[in-house]
Order: sequence, then C-alpha cells, then structure tokens
Amino acid sequence: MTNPDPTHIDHASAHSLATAVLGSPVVPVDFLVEHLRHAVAAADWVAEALQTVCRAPMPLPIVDVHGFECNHAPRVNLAEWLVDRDRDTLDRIRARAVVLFGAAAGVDERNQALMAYALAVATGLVSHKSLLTNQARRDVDLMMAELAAVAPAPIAQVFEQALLCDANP
Amino acid sequence: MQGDDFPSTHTTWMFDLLSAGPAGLAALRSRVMARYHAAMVAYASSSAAMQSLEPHELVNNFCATRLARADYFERWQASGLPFRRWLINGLHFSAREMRKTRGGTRATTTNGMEVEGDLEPPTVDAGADRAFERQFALQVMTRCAAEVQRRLSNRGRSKDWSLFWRHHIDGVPYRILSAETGVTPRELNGAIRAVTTELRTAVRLELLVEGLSEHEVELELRLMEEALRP
Repeated sequence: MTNPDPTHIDHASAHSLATAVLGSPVVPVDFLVEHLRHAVAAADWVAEALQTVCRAPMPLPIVDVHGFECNHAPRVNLAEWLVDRDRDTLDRIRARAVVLFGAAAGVDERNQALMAYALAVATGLVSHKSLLTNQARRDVDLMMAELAAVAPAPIAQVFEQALLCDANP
Repeated sequence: MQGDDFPSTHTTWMFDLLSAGPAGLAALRSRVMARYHAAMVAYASSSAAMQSLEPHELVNNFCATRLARADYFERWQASGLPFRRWLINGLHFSAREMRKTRGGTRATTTNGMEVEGDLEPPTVDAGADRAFERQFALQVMTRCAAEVQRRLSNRGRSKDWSLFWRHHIDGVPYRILSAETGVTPRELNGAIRAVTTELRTAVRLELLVEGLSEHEVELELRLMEEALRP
C-alpha cells in the first residue's frame, strides 16, 4: 500500500482530487438525476430505458420483455426477465446502453460506464439481488461500490442505498 | 482590454482583515502572499510580456514594492476589479518598472507622474491567466489534502487516506483493492467515501472562506477542475 504525501501533489493528482471532490465533473448531472429519480421512484423510466434499448437496431433477444409498456409494475417482470438472461446477454445490454445513453448525452467513456450502471440499477439487477447468483451479487456490489464512490452526491445516494440493499424483491 | 472572464475573487476575509487595523493589514499581506505567490510565479513564467524577467525575482519585487504599500488594498477596493486581476495588473506594472530600471531609465513619465498604470490595464494574457488559475487550484487541493490526511492521521485512520489515494488517484478499482487488502467492497466504499466527503468539505470551506455562495462554490470547483485538466 502506498503512503501518499499530500504535500507534494502534481497537477495530474490534483486533477484527480478535484474530480473526486466534484463527484463526476463532466457527467450531465441533471440528466442523470432526472432519470434516476424516475428509476428509483417510479417504474416508468425503466420502461422508457428498455424501450429505448429495444427500439435500437440490436441483435438482442429482448422482444419478449413483458410489461415494459405498463407503468404499474414492470420492474419485477423486467428484473425476473433479466435474471433469467445469461451473463453475456446482460453484458451486451449494458454495452448497448453505454452507446445509447452515453452518445446521446455526449459524455465521456467514464461517464458512459456510469450511465450503464444506472441502467443496471433501473432494471432491477440490484433491488432484486436475492434473485441473483452469489457471484452475480458480488459483481453487482462491486459495480455499485465503484459508482457510489465517484457519482455526484444525489446519484451516489441511490447507489449507496442499492449497495446496502440485501434485497428482497 | 480588461479580462471580464477572469474569475472573480471573493473577499469577505480580506475586508475583515482590512478593518482590523495595522495588525490586520499585516496579516492580510501575509495571507495574500501565502495564497497567491506561487500562482503569480506561474503567471510570470507563462506571460509573454514577462519572459525577459526571472519569475521569482519579479514576484518578490512586486511584493516588496507594491503589495507592501500602505494604500495597496484601498486602491484595489477603489478599482472595482477582481482581486486576482488587480494582482496581475500590478505584476505587469512591476515588470515594466523592472525592465525600465534595467534599461537605465526611471519608472516615471515626463510629467513626473509615477508609472503606476493601475488605471491603464495591460492586455489580458489568456495563457498566463490559465497558468495562474492552474497553480492556484493546485495550491488549494494540496492544502486541503494535507489537512484531511493530518486529521485522519490524528484519528488513527491513516489507512483510509491510502485507500482513497489508491482508488481515486492511482485509479485502482475496488475489486483489486479488495483483493489486496482483504477489505470488502462495501467497507472500502464506506471508508473511501468518508475521505472523499471530508476532502470535499475542506475544499468547499476553503472557497467559502473567500465569501463565495453555495452556487459560486460549485462553479469555482468546476473551474478548478478545468484548470487542472492535463
């Protein structure tokens, strides 16, 4: 473990510190906040997100997603559906979300990843952790921990809650 | 041309010291030198108009001949300029004076008026302005980081600073840190996030001391981040 000396900080390290202080400085915070608010408080953004993913030309077998057109209780259905998917499919969904949401918001690569994580939360991978395998839950926890540490405060709170959620659907 | 886009300097603490008599004025000079000396050296090093002068010598000359004047801060207040711009204008005039002195001429005009020039602002040098802001931001981050590390150390939490540094500065992801240290991701997240929050508070306080509003602090933080970008 390094023992860093903060009295001799170069510009690159100072920039990293400023980035940490800011949370995620170049992320379109309003965009994330708005969408995550919906993701957590209401299910309609989940539907919107998946609809966006579905409408995109992508070779993913998600045409059989049930309920995403319904605003009442689509998260459970989506989560169950997602849990049933194999790891490769989930990775491809996340990768697609990175392209869709990242490109749309004009964000950099780091924040594209953040957007993808947001989608992972929204689609219930976290709030339904009990449905996941142990390995998948550990992966999700790692994702959430990474995100909670770098996201702007309102977003980070969402992920901290998700991280602490041992999860019953 | 005046640099309207030059970041303002908010000055509550300066006014407080100015109103505290001679001791306050002396403290204000010391504090200004501590806060801005390195940034002014960075400016002098980058300024096209100051290339013929040794930056440290120029800034020291500025501090001795201008900052030390009894009416320096009163004249700044009367100018209506942001303090950082006022400092830089003064640095330009010190540079002119030094060049004239070395050229064998006195720093006075034909009508005997001292070439203060503070009413005749120099051309804005955007590159040098960026160097100033970059160095100033570096100083703020360095001071705050040292303060947070010291506080953690006093509480017996030095390891948290190392974890924070490894994650945010060295870019080590949680999964690797977890494997290295045996600390779970959740515990890592808690420790690192606490350090981040403490550093954020320290930086915000540093800026609030200068009288910035909450909104202005956020803006200043973003400007600092931009100034520090590689």
